[in-house]
Amino acid sequence: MGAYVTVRALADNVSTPWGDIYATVNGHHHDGDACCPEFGPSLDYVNLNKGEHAEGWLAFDVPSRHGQLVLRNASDNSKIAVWTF
Amino acid sequence: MSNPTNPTRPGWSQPPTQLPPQPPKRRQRGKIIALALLTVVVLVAIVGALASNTPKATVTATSTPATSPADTTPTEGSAASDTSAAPAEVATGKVGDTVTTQASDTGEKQAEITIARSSSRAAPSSTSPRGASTWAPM
Repeated sequence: MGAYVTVRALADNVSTPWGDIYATVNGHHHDGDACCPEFGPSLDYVNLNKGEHAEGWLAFDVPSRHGQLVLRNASDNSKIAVWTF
Repeated sequence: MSNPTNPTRPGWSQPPTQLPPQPPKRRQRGKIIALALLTVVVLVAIVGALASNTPKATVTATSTPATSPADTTPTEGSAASDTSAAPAEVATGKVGDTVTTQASDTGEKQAEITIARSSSRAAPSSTSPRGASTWAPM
């Protein structure tokens, strides 16, 4: 599945959560895949300054249409936000 | 018949009836009081010595961060749950919702992140053997 992510920086030097979003389906953890050119443009890993924004697709190879997308904290791996899809 | 119980009969000697001299009751009472006082004094001294030698309990306060390294608050108009009250709480929502990340130390808002939409379009078969045929559009 693909998730279209938009990021708007509210401060300087904010990186996009390129590797900090993963999917869970039935408790299974699925990291994003660097695949799937049809899910383009992809969300790139960039640093944004205040007012800048970035957007793009993140692709996940999951076995179901329903699950969760999780934004994690890169420093301690804790969950920040969960989206249901 | 002789009467052995008759002490008045001549020739019978009186049984010794002398008892040890009894101390006066007043003196006995004084001894008891003095002993009790001495006991109390000794007990107080022992308790005091124990108290002074017992190491005092030390309570060490361990501070833990009240906030996680990053927390979230929902954006205005977003359907995401309210997480502003509890910084460590995980924001939950559905596709289309926006979360705002904050710096844990300063509380400064960092970014608004939105999963704008999702698609179940399958990956190419070379990278995803499950293929698209089994997935319906969302």
